[in-house]
Amino acid sequence: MKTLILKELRENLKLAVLGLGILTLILALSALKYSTILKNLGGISDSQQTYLPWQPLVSSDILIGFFCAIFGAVLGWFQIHNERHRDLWAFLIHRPTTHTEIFFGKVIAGLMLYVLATGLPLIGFIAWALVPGHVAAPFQWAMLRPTAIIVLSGTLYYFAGMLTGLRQARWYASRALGVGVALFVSLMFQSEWHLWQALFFILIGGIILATAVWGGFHSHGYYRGQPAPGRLALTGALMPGWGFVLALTAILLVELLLRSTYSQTQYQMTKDGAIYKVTQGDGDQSNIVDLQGKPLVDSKTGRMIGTADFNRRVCTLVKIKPDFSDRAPRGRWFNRDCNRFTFWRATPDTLWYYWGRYGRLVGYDIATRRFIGSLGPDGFAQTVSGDGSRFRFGDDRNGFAAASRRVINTAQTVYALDLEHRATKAIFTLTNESSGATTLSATTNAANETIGGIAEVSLNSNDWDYTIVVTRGYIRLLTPDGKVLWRAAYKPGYPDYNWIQVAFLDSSNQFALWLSPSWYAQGKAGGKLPKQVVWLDREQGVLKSTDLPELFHNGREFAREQKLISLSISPALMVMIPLINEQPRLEDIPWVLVRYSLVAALVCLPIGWWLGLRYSLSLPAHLGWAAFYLVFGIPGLLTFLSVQEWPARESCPNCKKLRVVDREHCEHCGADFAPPEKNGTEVFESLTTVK
Amino acid sequence: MNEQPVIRTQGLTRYFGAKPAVYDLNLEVPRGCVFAFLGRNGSGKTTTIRMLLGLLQPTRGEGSILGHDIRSLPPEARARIGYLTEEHQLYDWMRVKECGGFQSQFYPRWNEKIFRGVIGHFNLKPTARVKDLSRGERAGLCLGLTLAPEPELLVLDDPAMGLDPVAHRSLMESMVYLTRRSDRTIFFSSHQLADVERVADYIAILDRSVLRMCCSLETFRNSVQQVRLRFPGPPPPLPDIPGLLQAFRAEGELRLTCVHYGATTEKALRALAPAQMEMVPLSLEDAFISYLGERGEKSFILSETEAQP
Amino acid sequence: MSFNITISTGLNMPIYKQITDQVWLAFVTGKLAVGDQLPTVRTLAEDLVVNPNTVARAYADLMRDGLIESRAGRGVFITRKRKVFTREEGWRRLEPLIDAAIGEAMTMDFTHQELREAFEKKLGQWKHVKGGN
Repeated sequence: MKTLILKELRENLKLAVLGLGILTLILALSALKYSTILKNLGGISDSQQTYLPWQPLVSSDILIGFFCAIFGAVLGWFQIHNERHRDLWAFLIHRPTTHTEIFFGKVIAGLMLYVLATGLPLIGFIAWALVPGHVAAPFQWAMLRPTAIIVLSGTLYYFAGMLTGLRQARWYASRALGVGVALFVSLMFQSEWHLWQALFFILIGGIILATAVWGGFHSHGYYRGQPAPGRLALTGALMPGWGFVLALTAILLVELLLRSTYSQTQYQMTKDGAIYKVTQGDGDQSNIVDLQGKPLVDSKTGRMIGTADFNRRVCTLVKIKPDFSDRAPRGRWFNRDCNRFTFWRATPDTLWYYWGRYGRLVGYDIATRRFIGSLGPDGFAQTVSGDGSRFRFGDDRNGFAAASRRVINTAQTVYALDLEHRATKAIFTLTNESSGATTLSATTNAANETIGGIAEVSLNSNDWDYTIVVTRGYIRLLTPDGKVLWRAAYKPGYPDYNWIQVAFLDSSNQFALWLSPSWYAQGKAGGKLPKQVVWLDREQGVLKSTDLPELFHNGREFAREQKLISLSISPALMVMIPLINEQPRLEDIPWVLVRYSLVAALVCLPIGWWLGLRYSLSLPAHLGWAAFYLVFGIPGLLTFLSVQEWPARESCPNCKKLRVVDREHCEHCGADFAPPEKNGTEVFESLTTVK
Repeated sequence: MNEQPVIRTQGLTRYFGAKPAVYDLNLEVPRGCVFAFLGRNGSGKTTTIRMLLGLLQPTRGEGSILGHDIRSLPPEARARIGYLTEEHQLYDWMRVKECGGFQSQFYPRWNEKIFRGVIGHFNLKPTARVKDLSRGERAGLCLGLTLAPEPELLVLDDPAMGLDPVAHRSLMESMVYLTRRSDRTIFFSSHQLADVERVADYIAILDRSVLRMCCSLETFRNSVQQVRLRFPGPPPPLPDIPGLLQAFRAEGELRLTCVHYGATTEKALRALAPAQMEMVPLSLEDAFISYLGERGEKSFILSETEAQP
Repeated sequence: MSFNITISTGLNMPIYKQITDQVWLAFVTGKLAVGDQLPTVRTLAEDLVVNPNTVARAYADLMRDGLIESRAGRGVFITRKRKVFTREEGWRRLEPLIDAAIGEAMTMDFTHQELREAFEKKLGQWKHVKGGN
């Protein structure tokens, strides 16, 4: 074993060093890019700044992910191909050791090289980033968990690469199908919430691929002749690949064939407060009708108004999604920046971030790239946690962070920020709400109220015109100095109606409030929950209100496209996908779609059964494959087709029926195969030991 | 001594697609012999060898090597079998002595003296890199790696292919040297009839996937015979002659190559009333070529007879 | 010892036959005398690069014909020439060879006279060989 490992290490060291070099280069470039950004910050607009790679350790993940996948696959493929394409394979296999030992020799060496090539540059990069004065952004070790998972999942590509090199299949693409497992696990990250979910998928995928490779060593890449676990694993390893190929094909076909009928209708409000239904079709021109269905006509031309014209008439809309839960904003751990910290704003000499761990704004000097202190409700402190007081900052505000630079809140109070002077000022407190403004019909116990979300409104690029503050009871509009312009009842909107939009109409005194149901609530109600619209005037309060029916809803009813696509997807996958969530809920399983993919699976059943008969599978194999088609549908059938090595069929000399050549006897009549025909030139002699 | 054959196959068959590469092979290789496995390119020799060593699954049939099922060769069996692959491939980046070091780790019975002897015989520097070796030198190194574990059974897949005469002679010397111990068996495939003539005790011939001959070298030479018939005029048309391989027709002369030449054949030929009839001794190569070449009648004067309507 | 066996492959004569013929020729031309030692089977096989079984077969034939004998533990020696064949058997073996030579000569249009002269001349060259007269 040691000899094998050493040989593999020597043989593939060059490749590992090459990989190490490339990754070092990638990471060095991202460090360089980071430095360039910090130097040229003045030239980048405020809204663009939000999305800059503020923490290079975290923002390089996608590149690292691509590198790990490609490097892993190449390394694995090369380790096999090196011996396989010449006849070194025979030299390697024909030694007095087990196939298992040869497998482990290769894998242990391969993984060592993988760790070397990815680990060294990453450790260097982390060390660089951790030295104070290099990265002006918050860091905590948990930020590296996604990177760790990405590096770990590269090993799946490694095994998939090995399997590709090893497999004997009629065409090369079907050899590479094992990559599907690795892709599947990688894509799962996007919907995973917990670390254990990621580890679980890597473990399962790794076991399947590694076992398939191990089995391949026994049969030199064929399905036949593998030990049973190897055959099972190979089947499992190819199935996701087919799943991908099929789903992509189905999506492409649906796009190509059904796209022309695709359209989407939504409500839009113009600056005069009128509501129109806008249907976006194929072309540039949208179909714009009022709620009665009458087309909106341009008064000058008398024809339907142009889309561009209409878009100029549409009012400004500010969205806010309140969150009243007490937990600290957690978010998806895989969701990088917003999870750990959010870039807030850059002053000429300081970068400010909201750091969820401490609930405070933390500042870093741009020139020295060192931490300077934190800002909390109590003011500025030299330490990162100050006196422990925290702001509340819902993660959903992240998307609007660019517009939320001047205001922040706690549970009770809204603060104006003066980052230039490292100071905060309370401008509005629930318990001390000024009653000077017109209050609207609602009663509430102010003491129980908490602020679930605020939004800063800038109608013109750099002004601060209003602040929207949402509590369970009310939605308020404040002036920048904290005066309440109006407040409208929100109760009992939460939690079903969690999507609030404030429309700013032409007259500065007029507004409209849109309340939309959450996707989940709408799903439960079967799309029956209406949108609520209220027109407000600053002086007169509510002018009128209306309910609008949901125009499109994809909660429980599925489009034809989705149904068609689900024909190509494994029933098992359809059931499983919704369960990979923060809180897996059985009712999230789209049973309607599952039914469609089950129909496809049922169609596969007789086809597969017939093929099994044709190639005379044993009864257990028949039943096993039948169960496989039922669970995995069309991808299952295709997997069956691609793992089996279809033996040729010949006519039986006895019963004249076609029979497979890889059985000793005819499966129909039990006759032997005919010996080769004599041609009269045979010379056979009984050979004895010489001497 | 163990009387069990070192290699035994029964109905061993391998298909590639719909085409059989080896069909219903029944072979027994006795212990202690030098066994030549012959046939034209693509007749299934390499396929057979790869099946025997468990590198290729048989489509059907069975086989055993040193008493072990070829479908599941245990490491102990592999330790007793030396296998020289067809292309003499080795790790390019290794040095000659590293190859030895690598190989020796796997074999408890590794004999460094033999390894040194063989690579010395082929004039190989221990520090030379494999990628700089010539084809013949690589073959020598492979041979050293194969012989040093002192295998009981040596399987050589076309060992002479691509060797220059000097390396070729070294190879033959090594093979002869190996017969010193009478319990060693050598099973080799080859196209070099000269090698077969020098070293083989037995030969087996695969003709288009089917084993047609398996006997001692002497039997083969005696079985394929050429007879020359002379006629005063143009030779008469040929009757059906059993075992006829090839017939050459020349002016006043008929030369026939037959397998199983015997009394029946002779009687059939005498009936043609030749003026003279004599046996022509054949070289091994000629016999082999007649045996595997195209069957039927050829004529040296074909063009002349066609010219006369 | 000036005696040296060489063999060629690709001839129409098997290797063992080449060996026996050369030993016979060396003996009749005086290169080998009674009591001379021949190389062992193993030595000769490795020297000629042929299968030892082939050499053993040749030696077995020579032994059967009485030219050599094996002395236990010491090797193979040329022994006293015994009369191996009866006169009849000798003729039986000789006749086809003479037939072949004459047949070949006839096809090449040699005359009887020419053949007789050639035969005499050859016999003259072999005069010194024992038993020649």
